[in-house]
Amino acid sequence: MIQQASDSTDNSKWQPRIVAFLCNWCSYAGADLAGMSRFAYPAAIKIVRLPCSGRVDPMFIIKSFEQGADLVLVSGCHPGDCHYTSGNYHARRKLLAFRELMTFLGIDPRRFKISWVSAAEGAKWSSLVKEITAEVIALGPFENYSKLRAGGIAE
Amino acid sequence: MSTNTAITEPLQRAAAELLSEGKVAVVIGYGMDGDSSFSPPLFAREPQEAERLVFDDRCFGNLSVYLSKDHIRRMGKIGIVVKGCDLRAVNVLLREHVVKREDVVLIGVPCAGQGDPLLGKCSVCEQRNPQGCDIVVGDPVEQPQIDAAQRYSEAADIDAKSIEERWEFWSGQLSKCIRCYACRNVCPLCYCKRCITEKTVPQWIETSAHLRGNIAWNVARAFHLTGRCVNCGECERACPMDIPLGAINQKMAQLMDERYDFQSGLSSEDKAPFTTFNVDDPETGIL
Amino acid sequence: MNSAKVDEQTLYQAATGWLKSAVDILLGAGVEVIAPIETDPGVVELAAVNSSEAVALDYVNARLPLKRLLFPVTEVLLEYEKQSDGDVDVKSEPAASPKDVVVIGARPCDVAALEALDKVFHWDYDDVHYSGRREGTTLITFACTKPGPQCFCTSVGGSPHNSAQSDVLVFLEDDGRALLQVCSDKGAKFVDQLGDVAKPAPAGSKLPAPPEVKARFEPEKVKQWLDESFEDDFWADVSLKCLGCGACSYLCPTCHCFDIVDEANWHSGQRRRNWDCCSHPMFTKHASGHNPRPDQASRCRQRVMHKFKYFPERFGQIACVGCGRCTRACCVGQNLVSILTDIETRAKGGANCDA
Repeated sequence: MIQQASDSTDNSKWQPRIVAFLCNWCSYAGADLAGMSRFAYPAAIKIVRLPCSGRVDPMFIIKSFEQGADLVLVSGCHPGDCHYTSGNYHARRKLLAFRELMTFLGIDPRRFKISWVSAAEGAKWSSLVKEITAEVIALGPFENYSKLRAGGIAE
Repeated sequence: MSTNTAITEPLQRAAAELLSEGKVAVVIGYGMDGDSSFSPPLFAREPQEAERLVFDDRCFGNLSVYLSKDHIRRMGKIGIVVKGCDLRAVNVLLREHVVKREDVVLIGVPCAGQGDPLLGKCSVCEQRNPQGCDIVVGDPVEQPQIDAAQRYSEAADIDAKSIEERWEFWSGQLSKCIRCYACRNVCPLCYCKRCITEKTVPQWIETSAHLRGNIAWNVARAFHLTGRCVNCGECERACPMDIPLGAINQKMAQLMDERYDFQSGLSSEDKAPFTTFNVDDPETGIL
Repeated sequence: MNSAKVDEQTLYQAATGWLKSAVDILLGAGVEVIAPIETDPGVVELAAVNSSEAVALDYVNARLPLKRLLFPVTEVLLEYEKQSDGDVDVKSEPAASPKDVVVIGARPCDVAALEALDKVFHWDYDDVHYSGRREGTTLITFACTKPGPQCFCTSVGGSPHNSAQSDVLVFLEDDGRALLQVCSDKGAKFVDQLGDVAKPAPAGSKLPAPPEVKARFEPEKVKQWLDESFEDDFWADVSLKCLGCGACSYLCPTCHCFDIVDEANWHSGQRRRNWDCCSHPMFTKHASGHNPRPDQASRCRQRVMHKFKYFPERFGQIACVGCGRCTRACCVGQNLVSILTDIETRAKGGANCDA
């Protein structure tokens, strides 16, 4: 799937890079279950495990873009299921506001996804990754940000 | 420039009294400087210095920034001149336990707006008459009704642009940033002893003034102020590169207002939106 | 940097429309032209122009000083990249030969400030990044006609007609004509390039009188007091309102302090030189946590001492050209002239702190 879509972009070598910040208790376990259940999903996603979605600082997202991510995903426990009772409720407020800030500044909000995936939702994880990978392939490389790689010595 | 004698005279008297009775160690107010295009901060520590205090239509600064400064706090109890807009910042400092109410004497000044022409923030000011001060000098001024559309009009101008236009606009604006940190240092609510941009392990924010670093810095600044910023406009006024920082803060304030019915600094008792939550908060946009 | 002494009276006159012709000739010759353009309403910045149309003529001074063209706010010193065999490839040479640049329309104070920068960047080490750009730059300065209220060049040895470090000093007339005073070989080359656009001025041509900029203090008196006043309560008083931002230093045409940072990931990185500023607490903070300048008082003192005591002692000149940007930019109205006049009063035996 990645190969097909890549062929249609200008740069045939481009492979999408997705950085995913997953909470340890639900989404990471969900991704684990997808693996154990042998649900295939695209390898474009690079997972960073965190204790809780409430741990995500917007700087994680900005740094990911700076380092070449075409899409960033934050995934946590469903509301009501937080291992720490309320981390995901705080994350919900902050991350949705952060997406609005991105939008206001013209940083394409489609490049930042938020999801709730439980430890039992291996199938959801698999289909979610397929879905967002397809979307980022359709969007193409995040050129606004990749162009920001600062100029060289002769700048 | 026109000195408001109806406020300046009672202000000088009140400040001299506070100082001579030893109720405060310093009164922070506005003074005069012939070279300056505005009335800069003045620190009166002796009763006779109070006669150099003024109030006019060039008192742009939000003096509450000094309440968190160690070298000012060391002086002792602080008397401070606050306009209604400045008082909102004081409320946040109280709410965040940076300042104790008993450590300050708030000298409120009714204010019909600053600047000629009026500053943008003053034309939509809803706090012309400061509430809850220890002393109020001068008579109340008329308070026009302001609606939400007026309150957030600066953000609306940018919201009207397409996402590509916004990127174009902000990458142009933020390219100008020279990372002098005037926006941070003038902000009454940027009181961290060590700013995230000064932290190097890891270095979340690149300190170079290239667009990549400038976006990271300005995003961090805006987000740290979300739900806290009182839109006093000091960051934008201080910016030597004239970056419209106020619009970003206004956008985030609008969001907090619309989503959580919250305006920062109207009370010193309320809770900032990011310190709390509701189980049924909006969820649109989560997969 | 002006290698040859040219007769100060080498005057040329240029007819209305000369600026447009000059820009076109330079652009046609493939030279990069930097000139004042209005970038924000009422704000002028020195920037590359593609045509003479954009050039602004009515301005006190550019928002950012000329120094940024020679000593940019951020620049790459070297780059490194990990190779597949594990070695690291380091590129540290600056661009082979910097382009020829002609800066038209900087103010005399900004140009004179380069004397201080030249001394620093050629002091114990020849800074190739700075000097490469400096050598390739020709400075066509516009004499001041309307100084701003915060200007004080005459107090620090300058003047609205100061030709120091300029290659050509241009006196604009209201009708678009101009007198061009050639001050160096580079300037002579520039005028030569203009061909018929600039003709030798008739014998007896006179330069206009400079506009008045009142002298506000004597730097020698200021230094006398500074020599004896490292420990003085004045510094705590005068720095009370300073919030410690970098606006004054970053906008200063002579401030030249920088920080060197690495920006890298696991594979590659850049070493950059960025403007830095003695008002920031981090400027002197040690890794141990100790800060030898622990408060704003000592940092404000450093800024004044550096400009009016240390720099003169080391390099024989004041590190201030009186452009007034620091005062214009300061969000709490810190006024350098007030500070210096206060100091002068103290030097004379008074003690009236008004700042």
